[in-house]
Amino acid sequence: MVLLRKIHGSLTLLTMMGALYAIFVIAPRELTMGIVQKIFYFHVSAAWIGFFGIYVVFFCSLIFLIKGGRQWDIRAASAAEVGVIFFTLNLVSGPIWAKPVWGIWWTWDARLTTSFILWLIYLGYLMIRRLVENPEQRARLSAVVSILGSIDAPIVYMANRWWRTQHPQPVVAGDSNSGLHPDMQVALLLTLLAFTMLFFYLWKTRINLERAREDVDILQQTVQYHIKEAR
Amino acid sequence: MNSYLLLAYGVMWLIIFAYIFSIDLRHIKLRKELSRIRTILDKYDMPVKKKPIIR
Repeated sequence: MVLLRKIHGSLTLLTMMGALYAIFVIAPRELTMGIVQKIFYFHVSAAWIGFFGIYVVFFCSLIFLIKGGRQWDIRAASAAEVGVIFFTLNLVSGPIWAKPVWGIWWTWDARLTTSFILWLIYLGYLMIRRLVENPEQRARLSAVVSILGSIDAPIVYMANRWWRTQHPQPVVAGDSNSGLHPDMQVALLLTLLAFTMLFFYLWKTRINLERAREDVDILQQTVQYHIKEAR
Repeated sequence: MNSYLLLAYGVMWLIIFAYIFSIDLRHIKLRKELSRIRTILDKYDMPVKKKPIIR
């Protein structure tokens, strides 16, 4: 298992390097925005993996509520944390890209606002997990929050299709005028692959951490039990 | 290179590495806690059902 994780980590690193090469060397410079458009590859991939993370949380939470099982709660919580990290990448890179292109860091349009709300919902999810001490109660409550929170994900996705927004219309899977240069597509797909591999690597690492923490908690309880017995 | 581009990629890599570092720190903290508990368990010869492994 350790060897597999090392292979996974090395492959992720190699793919990431390949993605950076494709972004900065292969992909052409966009005519209107210039070189700053290269933020696009990480910005879009981070959003997609953020969405992916949210649906992993959704499915794990749903299975937990239907079947029970501590492992589903651990999987959901770990995916939520990693998903929030990818959404943070998206929310941080967006304003840095917006400033030179739109002239402003942020605007409360439908796409940006719903994305920010989604990020806040999952921060709330992580806060609930820290605040509620009873494990059973914590698992159930956070599962419900994640399922309700996931309703916002399709709204974020469709926001710039349903409403007129400052955020541009989708260039991938958009209308007939949308599309990317083939070299830009290669760079985007490679970045997406690297981010997907990174997501699974971090998720697995986070799951291992959570399981180990649970084992240590059980050991602590065992020590306390023996101390009480000895008294 | 455009300063906004540099800033965006710099901040994004900083977040990614900070997160990996935070997971690593939590692993180290947990390993320390585990070795502390193991010392107590061995010292007082306390039976344990399952011995944890930190991967």
